[in-house]
Amino acid sequence: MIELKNVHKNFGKLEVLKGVDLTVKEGEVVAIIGPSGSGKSTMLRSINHLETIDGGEILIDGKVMGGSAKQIKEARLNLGMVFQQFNLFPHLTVHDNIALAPKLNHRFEKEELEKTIDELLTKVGLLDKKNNYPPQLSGGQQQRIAIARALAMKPKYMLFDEPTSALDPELIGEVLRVIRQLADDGMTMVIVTHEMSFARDIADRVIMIDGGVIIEEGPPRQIFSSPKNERTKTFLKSILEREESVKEGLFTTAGIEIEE
Amino acid sequence: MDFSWVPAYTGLFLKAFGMTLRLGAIAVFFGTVLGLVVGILSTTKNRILKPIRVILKVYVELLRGCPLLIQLFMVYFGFPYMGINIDISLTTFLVFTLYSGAYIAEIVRSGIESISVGQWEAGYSLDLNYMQIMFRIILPQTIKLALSSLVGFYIGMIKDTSLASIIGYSELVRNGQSIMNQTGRPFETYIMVGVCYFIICYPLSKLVPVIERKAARYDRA
Amino acid sequence: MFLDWRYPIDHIGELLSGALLTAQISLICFLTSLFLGTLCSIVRYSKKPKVLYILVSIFVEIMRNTPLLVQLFFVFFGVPQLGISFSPWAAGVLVLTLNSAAYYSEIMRGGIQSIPKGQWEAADSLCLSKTNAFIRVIFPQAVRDAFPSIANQLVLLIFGTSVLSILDVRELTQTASILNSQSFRSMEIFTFVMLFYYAVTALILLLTRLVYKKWFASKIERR
Repeated sequence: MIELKNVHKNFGKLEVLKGVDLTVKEGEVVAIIGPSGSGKSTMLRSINHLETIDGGEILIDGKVMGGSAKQIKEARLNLGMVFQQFNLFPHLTVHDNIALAPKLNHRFEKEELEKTIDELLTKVGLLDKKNNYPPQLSGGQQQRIAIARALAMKPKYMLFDEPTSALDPELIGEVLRVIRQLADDGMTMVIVTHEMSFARDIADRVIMIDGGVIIEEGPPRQIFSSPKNERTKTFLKSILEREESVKEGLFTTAGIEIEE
Repeated sequence: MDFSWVPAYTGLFLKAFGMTLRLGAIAVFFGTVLGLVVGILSTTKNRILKPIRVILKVYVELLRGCPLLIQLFMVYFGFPYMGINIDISLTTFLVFTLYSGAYIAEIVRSGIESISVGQWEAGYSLDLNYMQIMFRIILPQTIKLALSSLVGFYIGMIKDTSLASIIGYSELVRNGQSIMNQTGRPFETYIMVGVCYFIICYPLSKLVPVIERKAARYDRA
Repeated sequence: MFLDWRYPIDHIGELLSGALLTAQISLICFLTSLFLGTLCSIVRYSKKPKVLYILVSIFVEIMRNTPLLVQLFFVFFGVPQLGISFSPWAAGVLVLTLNSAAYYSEIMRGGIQSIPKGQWEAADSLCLSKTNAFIRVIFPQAVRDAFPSIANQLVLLIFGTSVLSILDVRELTQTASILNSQSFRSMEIFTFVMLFYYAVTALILLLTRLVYKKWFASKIERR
């Protein structure tokens, strides 16, 4: 279980998180939505201590996140992170990208590791790219490798920081497919995203953040169809309107799955 | 450690410092002029100028491809050998000017060539001629780009003046040697000599990032 | 003005052994200063521990803002006043190494700083220790980015060996000086030596471009 209790975070004088509470149970998929600058990425990144918090506490499986480098590292073993910019290691092959962390953390025996890498690459559909280098791959392929890389550490929880925001539209679908597969397999996930239809489809719970505060939370059906908060309504209206135009064919973009 | 003798030698230090700065200034000034001319000429595409470009390229490559000391020796020993007798100061000025000219030419050349071809196209389509485009559009941008490299090179030039001591030019290091012999205190002497260079070079080196930032101020992030 | 080009050719043996010593000194100083410089760059980059950072910074600023010749004279003439004396060769290698290390420190620091923060974060979130993250992820990329500067500094190092001719170090420049004082065939000798140095420089730059293309650039082209 991931718990955030009254979390505050300042960047200098600017208060970015103003007392945020969140609980994520095992097996849950939580989607976090909100306008830019609302603090949603900061909140996600503080879960695995990429951002330090200035108030409140974060608990991973009951243990406070923080303390010595060793303690932080131990907590991070259960947290996998997928970044908006993928952050693959460009000087290593796809295989080495995935193998590096498990090898250095002695997670597997050699054969077991090779098997795991092949399984993960098959799962994301990129087994044939095992010996390529990241700059040789498209954005969608790189992000799928990044997901495989995070999964190789066998984390309990997966964190996604706007995983498709840096992708060209036609490449978003392949990444969303992989993430959905993960959800179907029962992985506990916290996803910060702008892809509303996707969030509506796979999330058990949706959190709406604005101005550093959680202003609404509930099941997708409630948030997207009958939001209680005015700001949620305005925010969703502007996003869903654009998606509606896409559906009506006013703009043509291929590959996005928009479902009712 | 004993620095008590230093005040007595202040005059000598200052004179020697002046000689160093004089050589540095000449190398910087004339070298920059030479470097600009050579650099600009190197970027011309005119077929008639090709032989000149080849000669200039050889000049730049050779002088950048071997140590300054060899160049000093070559002129200092070689000229009298071939019957040309000029005094040490002139020898030194000549070699340093040619040397810095070669390096600055390269800085200027690569600066000009990195300005996008679109700038030239815009200039020609506005009915400007080559000279106008070069001096009013290309060069100002080149200087802006190359300024921090140039200043960095100038700092190196001040330090390189120390090599002139080897052929007898009376600057800081040369005078340092005689001070060392007079006072019998090489340790303190060379610390003082080093300090002289440091108080010029260190502030200038701190200026370089400031120049870079100012030059890039209006560039889109 | 009779130029006798046979003279340097007759003495090619001495010139070559001078060149060999130049090469040896350059190699030793290059490897040592690159290693030392990288260590310094780590301290300069992380700015911790504070005391070490201050000491390294002072070292770097002094070495970079004073001439090589002054540093050489200081070590060879000045330091013996305190009781420690150096052979010409030792003074030369020491000064060249320290001088070059200061430059490599800043070169590598620039390289490290140019690595996007996301690389550090990815390594952190994958539970790599700071040491492993540096050695496996950051450092290889920093070297790649700084490669041209590293090669350029190597060329400057090789030129720096010529300054050692002032002391009793029989490298290429001093060999030339000695031959010159024996025969006064200045133009021929120094032209020869100039071409020698130029050939070495051109070779290194060529090698650099080849290595760069083979090692690094091939990983970037899209298939």
